[in-house]
Amino acid sequence: TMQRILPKFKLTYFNFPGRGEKVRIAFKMAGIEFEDERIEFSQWPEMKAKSPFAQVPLLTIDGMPPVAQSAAILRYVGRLGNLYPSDPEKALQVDEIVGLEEDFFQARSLPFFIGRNPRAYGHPADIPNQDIQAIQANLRSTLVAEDIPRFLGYFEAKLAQSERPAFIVGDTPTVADCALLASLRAVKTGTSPGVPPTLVDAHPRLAAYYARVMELPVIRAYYA
Amino acid sequence: HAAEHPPKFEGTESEKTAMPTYKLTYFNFAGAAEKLRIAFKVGGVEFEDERIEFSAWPELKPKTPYGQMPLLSIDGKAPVAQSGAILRYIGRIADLYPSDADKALEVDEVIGLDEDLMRSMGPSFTIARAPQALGHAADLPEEDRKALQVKLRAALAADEIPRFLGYFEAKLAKTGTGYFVGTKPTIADCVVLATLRALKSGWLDGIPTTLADSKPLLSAFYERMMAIPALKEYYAAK
Repeated sequence: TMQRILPKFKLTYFNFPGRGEKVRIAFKMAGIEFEDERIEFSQWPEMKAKSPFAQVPLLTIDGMPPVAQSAAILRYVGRLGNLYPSDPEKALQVDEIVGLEEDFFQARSLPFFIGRNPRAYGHPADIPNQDIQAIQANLRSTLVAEDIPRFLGYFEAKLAQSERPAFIVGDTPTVADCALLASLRAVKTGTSPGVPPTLVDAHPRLAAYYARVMELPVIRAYYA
Repeated sequence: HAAEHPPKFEGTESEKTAMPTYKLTYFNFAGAAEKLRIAFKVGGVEFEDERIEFSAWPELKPKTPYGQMPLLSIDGKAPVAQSGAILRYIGRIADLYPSDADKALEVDEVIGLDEDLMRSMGPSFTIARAPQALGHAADLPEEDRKALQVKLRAALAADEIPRFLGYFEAKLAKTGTGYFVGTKPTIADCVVLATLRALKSGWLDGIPTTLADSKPLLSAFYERMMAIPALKEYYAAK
């Protein structure tokens, strides 16, 4: 294969999976080197003031002004790394899964976001910690009973469209797999408090898919 | 000066013989589908603009792949969901979405920022419709819901909306072409136009319709896009 001269990439995000993980996975799947800059929450206020849109993740390409938006960066890495079909109908299938995963991420992260910024959800800014925790526990039990199984069911149904699914869309890895893997890992590794890791196992194709993708050499090495 | 008088965009000729048939299904209002309708129009691609009444939705919902709309059906095939996916599909077939990775990154960044802005408005709807989803009492009285909604909308009008409009204004200043990426409309322009229309429409109770008026480049952008013949015709017919 021709060695492509690529720019230097730096991905900046917090030191947890969150929205950045699907991009880290994409870089690994694509075999593209990148600096995985992880910042502490204590560093964030100063960085936030200097960032273009008061958000991370950020992608810095060859030291130029950084670009924001995890899904934009994901697609960019996908384009460079052959993880994003250019055929419109194939890309449509990939984008549908990427969008669904974002909805899934939003749904299961809501209790966390309410805790971070209660005012944005109609709660008093000084709401006592135990009240927030009670709200979060309540919302999480609904997530576990309803929303998470519903989303996992969608991905299971997608896999069921193929007799022997290799990846979530088609026969080769795409950015849809990067996004889905990030979400499945969040559930499987207990990143969301109160969400049992076993929820994925109720969906046999999805559980098998997860095991298969985790066995890919670059992925296994990354999470070793 | 090219930046002050950008070339007028007249629309794209579609190759009608080769094109599949498209049906877009959504409710009978702007919402998440308007950017898609705009993209079809700007791209010169014919489509069936199917609008569902709220009363028809409960029966239709379980028949959809993910219980949501908008949906796109290509040549009568099984519908595809997710407005971001449909948007990019239209972009690819209508030459509104660059294939160059760096240009596409710019487009996707704008689309993502717009999504963040629209998402920030979400709780102010949910608080009225289903307060328990945000950790409030399910039986929260109507007047309490309304009071919380007013508070949330006031914060949006004071903080989030001006902040994001500022980002879009700065992006237009950086491009200098009158469009968000490059020298002609992309799906990024379609998305921001839909948002500006939503803000101007008074659809958001408690959000002044004039928030974008203080942004000169956004205001000029709005006029420029609305002057595209296909859009002018589409909105005149409403």
